[in-house]
Amino acid sequence: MNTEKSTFVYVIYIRTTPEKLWAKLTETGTAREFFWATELHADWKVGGAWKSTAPDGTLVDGGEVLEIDPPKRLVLKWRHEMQPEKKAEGDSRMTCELEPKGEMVKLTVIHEMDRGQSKFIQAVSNGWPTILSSLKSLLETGEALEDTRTW
Amino acid sequence: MTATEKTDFVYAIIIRTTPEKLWEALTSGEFSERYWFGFRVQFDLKAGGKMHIVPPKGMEFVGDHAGEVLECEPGRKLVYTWKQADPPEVAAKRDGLSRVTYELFPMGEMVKLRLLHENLLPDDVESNPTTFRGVNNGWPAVLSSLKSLLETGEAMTFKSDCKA
Repeated sequence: MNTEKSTFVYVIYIRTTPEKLWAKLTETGTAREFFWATELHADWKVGGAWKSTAPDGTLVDGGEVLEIDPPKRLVLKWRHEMQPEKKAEGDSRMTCELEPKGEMVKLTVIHEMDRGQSKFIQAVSNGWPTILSSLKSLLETGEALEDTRTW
Repeated sequence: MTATEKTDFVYAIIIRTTPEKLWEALTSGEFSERYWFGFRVQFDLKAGGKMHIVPPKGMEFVGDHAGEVLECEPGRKLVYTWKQADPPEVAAKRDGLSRVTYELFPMGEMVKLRLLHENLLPDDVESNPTTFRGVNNGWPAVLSSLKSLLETGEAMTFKSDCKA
C-alpha cells in the first residue's frame, strides 16, 4: 500500500469577517484581483465543477467541489491543467477553513496529494503564501499586492 | 534508546514595505511589543551578540527566549538561537537550542519574509489549532500581525493564551 503523501499547510490571520473573506474566495471576478489575474468559475454545490482560467482563457486549474459550508469550510478536488508534469500527478485536495477570532479571521489552507514528493504541492507551497498575503492586503488596505494582479 | 525526533517550521509572508522598515520591525522592541503579544525583542545586532525576547507583565512564566545572534546581515538576514522554557520531561529531550532564521527578499514594492525555525521537537508543534501556542500557531499570528502593522499602521489585537 502506498501511504505517501505531500501536504502543505498555511495559516494567516486577516482583519475582516468570515463573510467578506468567503466572498473574496468564491465570487467570480474577485480572484482576478489577487490570484495572478485568473478568473474563477464554479458551481458552488457538492459535486459542482470549478475551474480557473488565465486572462487569455487558458485553463489553469480545475476540479470538483467536495464540501462546502459557507462561510466556514470549502474542500475542492483540484487538478492542475497547464504544465504537463504537474498535470500528470492528477488530483490534489485543497481545504480552506475560516475561523473568526475577535476582529480577525484565521484562514487555514491545506493542500495535499496522495503522492510523495509531489511537484505540484511543492509549487503551491510557494504560491499560497504569495496569494494569501495578497488577499490579506486586499481585505485590510483595499489593494492587493502588485505581483498577484497580473498573469 | 532511539534518537529524538526533530522537526522544523517554515513560513513565508509577503509584505508591502521596504527591507529597511521590515528589518526595523523585526529587530526593535518598540515595534515588536505592538505586534508580538507584547513581547519586546532586544538584539545586539552582531554575530555573537546577545538576544532577548522579554515577555510582558503577567506573562513572565513564559520566560525570556534568550539566545545569541549567529548571523546578522542588516536588511537581509538574521539568525539567532532561541531558548524555550521547557517542562522537565521536554527539557530532557532537548538537544541544543532551536534556531530562527529570517531572510528578507525585496520583490518590487514588496518584501518576502521567509522564516525558518529549526532544531525543534515535536513538543514545539501544537496539534490543537484553536490556540496561539506552538510554533505552528504562534508564528503565523505574530507575522500576520506584523504585516498588518506595516501595511495599515495597526497591529492585530489578540492576546496570548499561553497558560502558566
